[in-house]
Amino acid sequence: MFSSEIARFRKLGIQGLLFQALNFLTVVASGLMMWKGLCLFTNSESPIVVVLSGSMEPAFYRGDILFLTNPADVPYEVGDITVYKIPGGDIPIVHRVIESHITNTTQFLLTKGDNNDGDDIMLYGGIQWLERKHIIGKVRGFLPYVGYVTIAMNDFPQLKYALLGVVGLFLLIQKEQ
Amino acid sequence: MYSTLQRLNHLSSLATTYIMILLGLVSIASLFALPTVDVGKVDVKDLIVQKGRLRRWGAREEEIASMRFDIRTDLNPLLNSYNTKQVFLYLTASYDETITGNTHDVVLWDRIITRGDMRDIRAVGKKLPKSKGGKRGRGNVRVEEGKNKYAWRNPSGSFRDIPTANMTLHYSLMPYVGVLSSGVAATAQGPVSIPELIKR
Repeated sequence: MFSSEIARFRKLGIQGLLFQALNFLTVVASGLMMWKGLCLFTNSESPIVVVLSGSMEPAFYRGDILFLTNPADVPYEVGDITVYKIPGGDIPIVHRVIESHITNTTQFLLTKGDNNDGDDIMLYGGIQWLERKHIIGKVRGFLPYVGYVTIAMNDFPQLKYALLGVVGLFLLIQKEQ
Repeated sequence: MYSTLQRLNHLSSLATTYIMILLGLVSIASLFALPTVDVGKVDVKDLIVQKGRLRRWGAREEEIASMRFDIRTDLNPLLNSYNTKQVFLYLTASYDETITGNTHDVVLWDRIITRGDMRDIRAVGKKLPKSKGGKRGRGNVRVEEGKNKYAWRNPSGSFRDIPTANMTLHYSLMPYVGVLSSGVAATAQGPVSIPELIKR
């Protein structure tokens, strides 16, 4: 089954093989570079997120993609949809700000999901208010459904490894045309 | 020459590219044609401050304000925009504390209006008799004697240092695809003064 591939590897030799590996690394590195550049540009640790829960329905459903920005020195306003992460909690949460209290040192925020009955204090894990350091960014743009791929991959990890393996294999054994 | 797999690959990548370009163009076009609305009216009635507790375990007794309000505004321009999936209406009170200078912004009432029920928002608040005209009431927001949905309280536990508050009805426009936008749908005529605590 793989005899032709093995034969091609033989023909490539060490140099060709190394060249293919370099190609593969370039693809990975440029992807990482673009992501980190976007992080710097938007001042957010994760400028693109996928909605994981239904607490903002009917605005956002599971699998929708959100684009975030987090401009420094601009306070969050009531009505902004923010993405926050509580220290200790592992997934970021997308909810709307319903209270903002600005003192001369900090800003305290309270959030609520549009589809939830009560506010989020239960989700905060002990703290009373959100502060700027908890917030990853404010939602600026919206693209429906596309992120469902990542949810599928999270739900079925085998799919993720299969996809990674296939892509890697294709990159390595692909013929230059 | 070309295998079926290659043809399929080409076709799907082409389709994805063009769909993405189309979605990008739609979001840019709707950004240039953002709808605007005329600012409507919010009337605040029966604003009172009482001692009370939140319905939460271990809640302390504090001053809680409650009120009734009327809203009249026309959101038809938002409805007529093709890239509108949902409008989120929210009434905020914004106020400053005189001594500490802290500024506060609190949502008192909100309402999700999806495109499906946009045809008749007259059911907001209490039920109104159905109009015969069909299209006439479309996009008109009429709230009569609405109550604040969320408890209005101050982090300090008291409204003593707060003379007035500004009441504003905002909208947040959720598109099918593209950039989120927001604006003011209605305001109260001037700042609303906050009354003394009612003692029991």
